[in-house]
Amino acid sequence: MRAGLALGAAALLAATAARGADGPAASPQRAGAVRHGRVLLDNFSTLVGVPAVAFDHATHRARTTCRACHADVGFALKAGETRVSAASNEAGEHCGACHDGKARGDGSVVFRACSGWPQADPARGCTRCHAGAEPGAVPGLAALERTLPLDEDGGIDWGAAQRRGLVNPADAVEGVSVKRTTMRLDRDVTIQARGTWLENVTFSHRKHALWNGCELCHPDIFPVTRRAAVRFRMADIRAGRSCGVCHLNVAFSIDACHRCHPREGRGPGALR
Amino acid sequence: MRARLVAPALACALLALAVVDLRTPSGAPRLAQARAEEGWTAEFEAVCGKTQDAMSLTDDELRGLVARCDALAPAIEALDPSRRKVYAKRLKLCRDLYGFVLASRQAGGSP
Amino acid sequence: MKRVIALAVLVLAGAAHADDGPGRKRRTPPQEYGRVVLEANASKAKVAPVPFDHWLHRARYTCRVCHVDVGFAMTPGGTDIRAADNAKGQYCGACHDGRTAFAACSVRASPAQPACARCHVPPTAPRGDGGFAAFARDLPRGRFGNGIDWEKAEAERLVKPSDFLEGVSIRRTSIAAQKDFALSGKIAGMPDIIFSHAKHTVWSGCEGCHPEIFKVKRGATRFTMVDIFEGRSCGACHLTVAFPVLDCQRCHSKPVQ
Repeated sequence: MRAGLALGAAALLAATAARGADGPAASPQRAGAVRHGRVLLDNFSTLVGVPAVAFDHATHRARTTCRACHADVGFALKAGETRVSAASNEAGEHCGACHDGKARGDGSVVFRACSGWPQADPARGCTRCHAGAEPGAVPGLAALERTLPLDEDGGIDWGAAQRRGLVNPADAVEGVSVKRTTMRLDRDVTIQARGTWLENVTFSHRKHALWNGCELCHPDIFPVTRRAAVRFRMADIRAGRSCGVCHLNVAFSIDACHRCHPREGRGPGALR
Repeated sequence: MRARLVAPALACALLALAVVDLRTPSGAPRLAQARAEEGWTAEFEAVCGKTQDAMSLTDDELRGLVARCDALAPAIEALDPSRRKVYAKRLKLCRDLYGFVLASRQAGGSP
Repeated sequence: MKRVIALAVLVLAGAAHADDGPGRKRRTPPQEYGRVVLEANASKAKVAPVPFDHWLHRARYTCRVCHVDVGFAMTPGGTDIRAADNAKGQYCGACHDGRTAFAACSVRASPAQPACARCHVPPTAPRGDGGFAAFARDLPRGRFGNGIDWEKAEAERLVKPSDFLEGVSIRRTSIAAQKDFALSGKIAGMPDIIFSHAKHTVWSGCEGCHPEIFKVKRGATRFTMVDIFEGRSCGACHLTVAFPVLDCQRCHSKPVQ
């Protein structure tokens, strides 16, 4: 019995280790592979012979809320799940919802994505997006990093940027979004920290709803369940569930503990 | 000449009757069933055609309709499997609606 | 003690194997929203399942025609549809009889026949959008779901779903006007819900909801969002076929006084 149990434990541990090495639960920036905020889109690119797309969130967050892309346009919250293709872009879905080459109300033009596919010629500009996993300088990113406030880890502090009026992301995508009244729900939720060396987390709905609305988180990430049935565990978060859906690789990193568990005292006043 | 044909014709008819099963798969005699069927579909339409008016019917009228639904159940049970499935469900929806309106009234007032 | 440790290790290792969980998948594409895969009897008969698309049908008929008059259940697997039923003019066969629409299950032959493949499609087979893009192009936009505001489309007569199926439906009078009423949520700050009977009876009649989905007098039972997300109450329709409850403001629309 004991031998059997030990054997079973050893086998499971081995399997877990093997999975952990390349499984989706591995946090990208911890592996040092991908820059924070960068997502590699490669459902079809390398299959058809063009380099993959390294999508940097920063240049888009400055213009659009998370909700507009992830709820209205319908992008998944995980690389590879959306299955963006040249065909879908040309049909006006996914990237093509904005990247359609047409002039906006303010006169600006967003370059067309996958223009002319499948007759596209890399020399005509596919490499603007299809530049592989390490694209080098990203147009516009350096300018944002110069002008916007940075947090302690060197990343852009989007919350501060928005509060100071330096960015004003649009919450709608022309031709896609449907106007709805804004629901104001300013409820803060206190999440008890289990470890005695940590302060409790004061979760601010207002700060999150500004970027995400309601529908991005509820009910898919945070189910609507009976009271106190939702558990917030660091193990879940580090595995890419719960807060980790965003805060592993796109929103501010969970490695900055004090951003959620304030250093001095309790309550929202201790948060930046 | 015709008289001589009557007896054989009669005999053939009787033979045919003996051989051909005039009953429907569910066991009821075909002609009788056709007449009954005509009857129940008309009754079904009459009873379940009032669901949109349920809110304006009196309690007695509703109770009467529920009773008529219950009286229809045996005729529907006697149908072939395909129609039985469908009409049993339709009858249930219709009967339960009348029961619902009655129960709502008894619980106190309308919305 | 060793056993406890071994057991603990097993449990932890097992937990690590749990997949990424919900929330990360893409939203159902508009043309796939409302798709119900009819497979309970198909798999028993060893034929491909039928992916039934609601958008195609609700443009032509109200919910009531199919779910009350024709007798379809409100949950997949609840109707017990068989080829024999269709061939005899019940269920799908009520319209798919070769006259109103193409005949369903009309040939009692090998399921591999091309006619069968029009509906019985293996899940992995590549599918076009069935004409959805062209259909939806000029209809009022909605959030989520099919991306169509069906209520507005019907009100503006851009779609004209029929509420009567010849030979099946019973001639009925129209429903007397019903007043809208407000439903309050539990969470302070969430706008009240304005429920409109009129908007619902256009599609569902009375017996579509009462008492199968809404059993008791309003106010006697408290339905919570938990119930709704688990498919009860409003969730019977507003999770997978009607506009999904993700569109919070569609219902929570009355400003809190």
